[in-house]
Amino acid sequence: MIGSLSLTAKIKIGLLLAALALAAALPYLVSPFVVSIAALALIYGLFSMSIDLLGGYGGLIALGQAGILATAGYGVGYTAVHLGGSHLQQVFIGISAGLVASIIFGAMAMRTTGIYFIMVTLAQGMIVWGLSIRLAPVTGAENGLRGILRPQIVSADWKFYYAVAIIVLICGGLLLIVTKSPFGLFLRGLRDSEMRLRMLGYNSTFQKFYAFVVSGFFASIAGVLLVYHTQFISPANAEFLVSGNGVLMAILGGIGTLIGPVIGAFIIVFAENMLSSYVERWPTVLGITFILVILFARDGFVGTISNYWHGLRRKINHTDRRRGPSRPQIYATETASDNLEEPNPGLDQEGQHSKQGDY
Amino acid sequence: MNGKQRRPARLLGVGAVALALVIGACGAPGTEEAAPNETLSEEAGSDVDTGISTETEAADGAPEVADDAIKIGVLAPTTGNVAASGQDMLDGWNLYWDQNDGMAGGVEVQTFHEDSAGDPSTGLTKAERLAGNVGVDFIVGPLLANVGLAVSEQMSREGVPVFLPIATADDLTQREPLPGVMRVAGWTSSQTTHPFGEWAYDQGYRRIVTLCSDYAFGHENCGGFVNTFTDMGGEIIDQFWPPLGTQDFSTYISQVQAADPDAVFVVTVGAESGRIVKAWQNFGLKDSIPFLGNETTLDQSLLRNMGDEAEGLISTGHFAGGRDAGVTQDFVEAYDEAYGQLPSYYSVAMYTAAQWVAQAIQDVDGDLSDQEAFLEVVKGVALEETPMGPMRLDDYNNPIENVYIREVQTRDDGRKWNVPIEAIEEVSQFWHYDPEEFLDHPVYSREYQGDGVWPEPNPEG
Repeated sequence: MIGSLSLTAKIKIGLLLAALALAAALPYLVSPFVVSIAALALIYGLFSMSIDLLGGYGGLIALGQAGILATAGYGVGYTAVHLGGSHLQQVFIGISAGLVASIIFGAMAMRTTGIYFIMVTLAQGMIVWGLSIRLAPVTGAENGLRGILRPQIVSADWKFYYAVAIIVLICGGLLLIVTKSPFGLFLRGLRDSEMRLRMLGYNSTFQKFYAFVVSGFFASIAGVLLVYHTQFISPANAEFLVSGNGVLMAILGGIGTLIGPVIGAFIIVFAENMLSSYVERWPTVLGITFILVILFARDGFVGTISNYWHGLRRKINHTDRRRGPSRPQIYATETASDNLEEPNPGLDQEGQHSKQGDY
Repeated sequence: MNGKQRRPARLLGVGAVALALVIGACGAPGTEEAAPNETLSEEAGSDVDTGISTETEAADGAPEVADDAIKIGVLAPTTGNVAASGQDMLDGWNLYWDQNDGMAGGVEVQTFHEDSAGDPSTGLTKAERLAGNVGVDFIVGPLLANVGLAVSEQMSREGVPVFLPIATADDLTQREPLPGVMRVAGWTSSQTTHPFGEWAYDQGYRRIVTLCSDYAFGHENCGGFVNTFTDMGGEIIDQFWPPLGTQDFSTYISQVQAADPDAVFVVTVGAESGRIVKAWQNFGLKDSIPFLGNETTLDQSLLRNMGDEAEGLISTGHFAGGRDAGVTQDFVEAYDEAYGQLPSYYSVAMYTAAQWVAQAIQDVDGDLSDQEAFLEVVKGVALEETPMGPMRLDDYNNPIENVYIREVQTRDDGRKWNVPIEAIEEVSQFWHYDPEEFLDHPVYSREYQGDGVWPEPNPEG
């Protein structure tokens, strides 16, 4: 079966397996602190993926996703600290709280698009942040909620890392299915031309709401994991900066791909936590990196690498009909989210076909 | 793609980035150059060597350190909103070790600074790094109360002592004490304002309006003032709570003006302090309504950027640069010489904390292997004379220290500083109240400012 795959697919499988092997071996290679940072990066990667589902696939940039993340986190924290619930209850209430928040937010945002969508979601994030500061009896205001302990079974950093890695992998798989489903196609249609979708008879308003809730579900999972990672939650988790970072991670890694946000998250989280120990002005370094990416690699790391790869392939093999030169040039320059390269190569051909089918 | 068209742009971009890096490396405003890590720079040196390839290097843990050296982790925000104060913390800390050649009790002391960025989650991660990777003996810092709470809780669970010279959250040494967490050379939010409320009453003020920053520190700081002022018989006619980081105070100030109080009590932090002091003068209220500031409103770090609008303003605090004692003036001069500015309370608290732990290390002959014994010694340290005055810890691990009523005056060299007009000695975090009765009441919050039912002042206190 492997033999039937294209060279691109083989390379992708190889890279994916290598990444998985590295992820599995990580706790044996580096110090517990680095393992803990890697877990944090994976969590933010999942968070960024949830933003990317809306932004990269649907063209809906949500700047308030930290509100959902923090709501789920506060759900866990409140259950743990004030109600003394079991971990199962904590997770259940956390994800439920996140889902309720995303349903409310989704209902608020579903009629808007473009800049209005950005403004509405931005306001939503600020509402959660404001509430987290105001509702001191629930959230502990600035002092936050302390003493949220991880479940005993994953209390050690390396165990927690494996748990996070597995959950993020599962969520990534689920997101892959979502993006490959007819609903995923719909999302891309939404990005490219909402009017055309409506003309074809789709209820784009409801589908946007649905997309928001799906995205909110994954953001909630990230929120629950984040709280268990730091064993603490405060309004800082609901700040605009967190939402903004989520978007940056997606853009840096490659928006419109699922592996991109994870790579972006690793870059930003490691810069924040490791680079800062050596370089006083690490935000400058990060800022310059970001500017460079926007200037020279608008599709992010993943998108750019795959662009170069396809360019190379085209030169080598003009007979490759799948990626023939007939591909509209406007894609590569106009939309940063052109390359829908997924970590799972098995579905790549379908993805390409369906995309061409759209047009 | 259109590679040819892009090439000039690419060159331009590379040039711009190179330029940015050069400028960044040279013109470091008060960061690298200002951080006098000379005596402590071993860790900086080896850290830089490891470069960014942290994944492999970090496995080796801390850079090479002599086995018997004492490793102290310092958490101070050098990026983010409170970076300037964080730099003051580092400067004060480093000054002490510079003066003492990085030695205490005949043992080498090494500092490992991590940037907490003023964010609880980042602070936690950095504390983990200090505790787990570097293996520090204890942590000093951080700055913000919420970061302090988060870090203290986590480190206490992991058995790493945390000394808090700056973070003030009341409950850390009141209702929710944590093992191994001490406010070495620190203070609680309401400690400096308890005596201030009584002092204000003694000045003849009867009707006061408060204008306090709307977050935990503002609530607690304000609560101390309101509690004692009303206990004496004063009346709080109104309380305003501008949100943290308020840009424009004019609406608040006109409301204060309309209430026509005998005086106003103000709690602000950071840049907003400069704004309200300026606005107060612009509204022409400086000569008509007395302005009573808390410690952070008129701290030296903010006076540096204030002009005559601050002259003569009254505030309370546990440090006053103009204190007439030799040890204070020696410190102020040494600090001025080293960094070219007058020390803030962030500097002096870290300096005194260094003095405190150095004393403790000397008392145990540099042997920190028995952590419990070391903590007992730290707790027992009584500093006869520090730049802030005499200091020792109470039974709840908070210092008993002097509180100064301060007035902003101009020095001979034209710079402003705080000069004590009254010193209240031996102030405990419980003021005159009985500690146990005090702790039966909730911590000061926006809803609970200590008015109404409240313990009678302890006559012996």
